[in-house]
Amino acid sequence: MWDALIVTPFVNVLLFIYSLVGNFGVAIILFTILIRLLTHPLTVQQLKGTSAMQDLQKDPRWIEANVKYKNDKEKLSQVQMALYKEMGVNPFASCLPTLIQFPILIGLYQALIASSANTPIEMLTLSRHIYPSFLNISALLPMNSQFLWMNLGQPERLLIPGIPFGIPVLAIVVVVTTYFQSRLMTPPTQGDQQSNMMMGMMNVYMPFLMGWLALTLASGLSIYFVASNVVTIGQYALMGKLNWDNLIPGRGKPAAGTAQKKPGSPAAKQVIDASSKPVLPIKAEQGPAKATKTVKATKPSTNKPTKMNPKPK
Amino acid sequence: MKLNKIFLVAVLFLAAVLVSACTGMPITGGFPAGVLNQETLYVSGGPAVLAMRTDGTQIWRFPVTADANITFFAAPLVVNGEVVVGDYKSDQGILFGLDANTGAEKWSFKNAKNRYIASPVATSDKILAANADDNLYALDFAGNLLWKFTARSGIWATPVVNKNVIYVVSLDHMLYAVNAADGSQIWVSDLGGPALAAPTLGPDGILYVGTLGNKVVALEPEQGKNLWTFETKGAVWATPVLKGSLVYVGDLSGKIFALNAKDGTPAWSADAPGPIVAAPGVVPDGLVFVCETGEVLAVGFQNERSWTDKVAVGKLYSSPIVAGERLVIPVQSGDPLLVTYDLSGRKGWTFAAVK
Repeated sequence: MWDALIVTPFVNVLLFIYSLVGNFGVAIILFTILIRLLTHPLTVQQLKGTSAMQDLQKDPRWIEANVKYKNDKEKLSQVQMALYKEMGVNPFASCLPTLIQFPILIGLYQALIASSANTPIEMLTLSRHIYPSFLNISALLPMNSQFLWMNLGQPERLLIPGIPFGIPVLAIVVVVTTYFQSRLMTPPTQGDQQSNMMMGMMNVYMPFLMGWLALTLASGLSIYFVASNVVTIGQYALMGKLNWDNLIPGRGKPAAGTAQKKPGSPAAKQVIDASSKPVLPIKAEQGPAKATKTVKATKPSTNKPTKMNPKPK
Repeated sequence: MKLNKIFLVAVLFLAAVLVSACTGMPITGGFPAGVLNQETLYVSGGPAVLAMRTDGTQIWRFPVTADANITFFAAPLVVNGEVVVGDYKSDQGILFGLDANTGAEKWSFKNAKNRYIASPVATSDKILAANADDNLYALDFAGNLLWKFTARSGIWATPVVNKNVIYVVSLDHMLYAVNAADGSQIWVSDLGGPALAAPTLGPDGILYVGTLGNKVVALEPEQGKNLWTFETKGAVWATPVLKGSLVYVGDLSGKIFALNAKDGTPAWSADAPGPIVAAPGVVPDGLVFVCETGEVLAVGFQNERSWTDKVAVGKLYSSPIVAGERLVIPVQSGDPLLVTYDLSGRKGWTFAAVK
């Protein structure tokens, strides 16, 4: 089912692009752009859902309910559901598009592996994926898997005369682009401090994980990683959702579409006045490192949040 | 509540799709293969090369303990008391020379940059080893490089030698005739599709080769001119077998063809139980084909059905090794690694997969 629905069509489209451009590296980049364009509506929907959730979490009633019913999960859930309904927010609107995109990205990854056909078994598998009426596998082979200085079927190393070892340039590019992508796309810190911490850790570990994969796997996949990162950053930039301040440690300013109120600003004051519990909006102004500190400081405050209201700096 | 149910159903559906995705991942590996030399079988079985008696008992293995950095799938070559076998790891491509009696390493050749998919072959004074890095390496019997010939793409097929000429096919659609003395190209002929298996050499020097372009091609040996082309139903992965005046070949559609060697006209054709990747084994009264789906099919030279059986688990991608009255069949991605039959189709000993 998986192969028939996802991998086989992807392989055929990828190889069709290859048949037009004659270079597998270029075909991978074009195919990644194509898939990203096709899933763009889902990305937009996901961002809208995220923004709506962020706006909801800034609502005084939401904040108040979180504090008031902290120890009554059932009641909290009822109030939250009522708020969802009242404000027309679908709590799954941001994660459902992600879930739908997930198998597409896995399929894309598998299509790249299947299309490289570096071993007899991979070649057999590839021959099963091709629609004979659409593509002639015999004419497509052997693939031109040379792209710049790389053999896309093997891990990439740049050999420079005088240096006794190969430099993994592509792996470094993967680490950098993954770091930029995750930092730029991370929404402004707010709400659940534990989630913020996890997000911060992911932003650190994920680039290294991707870098390790790029170091050890065929460089064709690394090309896909880089292309995917760059295209995603481009998509977010076009929608004005890049959070440039995230690149500077300790400066987690809100992105354009999810603008938050600065401490002391009229809008922030409005929230504080309305709820008398400004803990969450103010914490949202902290960077990841400061947020950790705030969690510890606010632990005893849960029953009397107004007394622990930290002054904006 | 309705929303929750929809979400749950969506998540379960996606989970099912993802699970099926995991099971559908391609297996990265080659086909186990072996060769018989006198009374000893030498088998490349993944993590190790095995030397075995024909009763299924092991003599030695190389390496003695599994090494994650070395795998073997090309059938070994036995020459001058040595077993020559190529490593399958894509980023190192080591060719080993082992003592045929003990399995001890005597030399290694590390110049190749990709995997050895094809078995090496020997002439009177050199070893020829084709590598997926596009090169055919000629070595002396101590593993020293004499020359190399570079094709336009990877070489997955064993070369064949006729006197002073080496014939080698490549994924680049070409069949090359190479001077055995210095590795220079004599001629090159376009086959019209990638060739993955060695050509068959007729007694008159004519070459018969199958291609992924659904063709069997016959070429004359002097200039590589096409004598005839036969269009098969599916891709031809295996080396054709010449017996008498007929050329036998199986294809990926599961069709068996017997072609007249003279002009390529079909003498007969038959359906096999599944796709055929390997060349048939030749026994005194016919041919033994193995199918990807695990079936073994014995047919007479004139298409008389003899016997058929199904190997329990795994896929059959490698030619049966004919060891006297016994057929030894390597099994890919299954356990056992080897199954045996006598020539009448009775199952014999099996050998467990190498760990």
